[in-house]
Amino acid sequence: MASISFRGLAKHFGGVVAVKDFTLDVPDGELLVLVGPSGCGKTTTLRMLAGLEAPTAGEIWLGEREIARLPARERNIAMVFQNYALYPHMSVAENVGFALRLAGVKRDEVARRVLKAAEMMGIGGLLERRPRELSGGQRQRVAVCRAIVRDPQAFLFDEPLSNLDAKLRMSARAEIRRLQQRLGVTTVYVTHDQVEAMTLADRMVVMHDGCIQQVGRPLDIYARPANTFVAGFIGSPPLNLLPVSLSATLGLPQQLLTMGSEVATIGVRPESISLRASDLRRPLHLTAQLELVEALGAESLLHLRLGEWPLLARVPGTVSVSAGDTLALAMDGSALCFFGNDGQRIDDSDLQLSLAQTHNASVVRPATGN
Amino acid sequence: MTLGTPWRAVGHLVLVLLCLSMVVPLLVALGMAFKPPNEVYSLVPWPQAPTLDNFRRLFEQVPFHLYLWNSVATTALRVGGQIVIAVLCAYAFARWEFPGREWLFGAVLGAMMVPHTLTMIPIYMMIAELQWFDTWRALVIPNLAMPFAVFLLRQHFRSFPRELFDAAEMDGAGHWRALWLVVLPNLKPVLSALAIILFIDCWNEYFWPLLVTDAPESRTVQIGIREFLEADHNDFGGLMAGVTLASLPALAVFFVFQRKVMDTFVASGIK
Amino acid sequence: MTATATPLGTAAPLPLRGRQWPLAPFLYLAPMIVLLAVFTYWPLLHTIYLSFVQWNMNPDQPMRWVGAANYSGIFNSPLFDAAFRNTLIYIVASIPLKVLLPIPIAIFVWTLATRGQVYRALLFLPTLFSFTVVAVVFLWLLNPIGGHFVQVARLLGGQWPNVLTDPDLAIWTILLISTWKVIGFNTLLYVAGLASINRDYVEAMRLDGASDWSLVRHLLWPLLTPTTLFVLISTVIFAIQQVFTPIDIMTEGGPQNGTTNLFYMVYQYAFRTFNVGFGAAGTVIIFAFLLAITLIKMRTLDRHVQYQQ
Repeated sequence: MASISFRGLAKHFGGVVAVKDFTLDVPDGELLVLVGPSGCGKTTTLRMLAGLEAPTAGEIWLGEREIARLPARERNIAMVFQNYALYPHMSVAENVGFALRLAGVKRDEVARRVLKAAEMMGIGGLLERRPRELSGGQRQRVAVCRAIVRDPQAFLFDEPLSNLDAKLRMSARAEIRRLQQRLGVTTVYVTHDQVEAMTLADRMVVMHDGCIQQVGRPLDIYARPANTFVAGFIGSPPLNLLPVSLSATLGLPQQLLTMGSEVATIGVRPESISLRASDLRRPLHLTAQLELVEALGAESLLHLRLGEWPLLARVPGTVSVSAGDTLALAMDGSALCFFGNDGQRIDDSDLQLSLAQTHNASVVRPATGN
Repeated sequence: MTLGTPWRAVGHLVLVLLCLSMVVPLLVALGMAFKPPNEVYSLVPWPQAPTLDNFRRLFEQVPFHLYLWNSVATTALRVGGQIVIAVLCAYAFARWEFPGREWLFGAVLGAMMVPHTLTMIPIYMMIAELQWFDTWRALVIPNLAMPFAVFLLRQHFRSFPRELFDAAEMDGAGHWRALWLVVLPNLKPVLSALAIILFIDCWNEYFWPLLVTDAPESRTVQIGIREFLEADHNDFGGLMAGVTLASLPALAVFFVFQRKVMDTFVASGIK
Repeated sequence: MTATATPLGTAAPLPLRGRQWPLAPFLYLAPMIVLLAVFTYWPLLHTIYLSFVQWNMNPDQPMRWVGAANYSGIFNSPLFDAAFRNTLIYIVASIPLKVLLPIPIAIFVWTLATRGQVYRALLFLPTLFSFTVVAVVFLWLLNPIGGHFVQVARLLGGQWPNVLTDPDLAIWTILLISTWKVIGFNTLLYVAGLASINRDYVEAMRLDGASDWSLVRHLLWPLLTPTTLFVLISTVIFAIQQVFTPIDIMTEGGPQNGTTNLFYMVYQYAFRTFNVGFGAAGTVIIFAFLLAITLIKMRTLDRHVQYQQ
């Protein structure tokens, strides 16, 4: 068990900067998720932590040791790979026990620990099989088992669920969460899937172009994204980003344009829009053209058009509307986000307050506040 | 693809004749090895009264046992060395990025293009200077570098998942241990095929041993056959006995590993 | 908002010092590289140098620079005329026998699929035996006194000529023997080439109504061109280098230089008469010859080579 600290970690590949000045503290026992689109630097950062990639600059601290220049095998870190990387010529038991045998642990001790870890992962019956005889889900479990048997100071996961089908992914996700909580080992987890990130992370790091865009708890990031990139990345479906010129159409007061800092973009949560008829409490009124309805049973996604701008609304249940209709909608003003010209979110409590005051209907402040 | 009956018959006929022409001379030779002198001119390939006398004469005329031993020892040394050096080389290219990698790789494969004719005279001169004549060194060392083996291995490394190197590293295996514990066990088929190809190549070699060995005790088995031919060019029985002995190891090695050679050739795809 | 870090005892982060590239790969490569440098690349250069000197392998005798005298010496020698002529015969005659003839045989074997196992094993047989063994066996079969060919000819009422002592026939004898040695292997190379053709192509053509002959002409032949080229090159090299063995064992270049080739000529110069300069020059000539053939091949044939997508 140990905490991890990154200090100014950077990686250059020839002329390309993959990771820029990554600085972060990860307390002992936390499950930290690095999330972002392909090429954002999350995997490179993970590999530098693992010791598979040499940093161009910076330090990495694991507990009391600075490990950035140590070879991977001296770091006492275990990793689960995207394609599992199971040794094809070894049985499951040999795969799991490999690291222990290399470290010189006695045979019976190895067998004992392997059995214990295998039972924890539910693969006790597969110990004599070869990797090629296993299903994708089983292989993934073996890969995780191989990591936990070593009792390392940290776990690293490199998109371990991306090769599983959707259903398996959900159950595997929950299992990993439970496992980590049970073992209490500091974990760094990389994924491009923001749903995975949201559900797994104690804290989340959103990355883009080699930089940290935002660090925080998932729900905090969700409620208050730091910039338009994070806003557009997190959330399924993600935030609607509209230009401030539409503020009138959205039913927002003119003062927005003149108040405090310059507002350039308005962020609207899909679930904060509903059909006016069904939600009388929502104070902001607007109308839009319906282009497409995706009925999912428990909810419906309405693809709308506000003039020439697309707008996505998420409403509960099934609605009786059809493409081409002009819909009367209502919006929750307190859930709006405002972004400046530089893309950064404007954290202006005055703005929110005045929004609340300009409307007749009372606005229920969300519990998280501003 | 199926063929019409007349074509099929012709095809089979041609192939049967062809294969017969391959087999018959070899059978004749084999039979001759066991024929007593009075049957040597008989057209019947197999002996009526088989005898081991030809073998006896073979070993009396020339130190054939020495020839066999020389071939065994030098072939084992050479093939072993070639494989080890080629594996180390292919591993380095597969696992690491380093400056000059592409260039060095080109230099290694490019050496395949240099025909032996072009290098043999200076190498011969080197052997003279080092006084390696009649020693195993002359037969083994100049031939230890086998770029062809590197080429074959590289094809197989290409399909080797790179993540396994990372996993081995994380599990605590440095590059050396990873080579032994993770890489080599997965290379068994291609290594067997390579061993057979290199073995046959070395065992059957004629030109180079002819050049660098002179003393009777240091000849290899192929040259040994020639020695016997020169010693007594009428003893065809003895000659065929020598030929039989000289061919046994290659045949044995092949029949044991036959499948693997064929598969590897097909798998690596002839360009 | 990045988390502000409390330093754990150090100041600003230092850039990495020390080696950027690992040392290990060079250690692994060292044996191969050293061996290639010493036994392939340096000798290559040295040979070219030697082709311009005169020396007789005697360490007490110095080398004498003679410029292009070795080359002119070789070109003017009757041995060269014979060697060059024979080399051309070996190569040109080898093409239909060793490069083209195996193709229809291979196609047939390929159509047999697994039923052709026996054929394939038998075809490979001559490859396993050394050329020495092959030469010796045929030496017996062709023996003018009691060899099988002679006896069979006698039985049929004819006469079998002494092929190895006839200056005109000897070279064809050796040619046919070398064909015997190699035709099986080349056939299997073609079979391998055919095996790598994607079945989908065959099926697509069949659906388009192609007959057997069309299939061969429009699909198999074009897709076999890479293999054909490979076989061609190795046959040329074979005709120069590997035929040394039967030549040495059966005729030693004779009779009257009837079977010698460029390589055998070089051998005689360098290692029989110890004329290093001639030997080296001869080697360079062979190399230039091969290079010329390769260039011709590139100009004419490479354009037609087809690869599968």
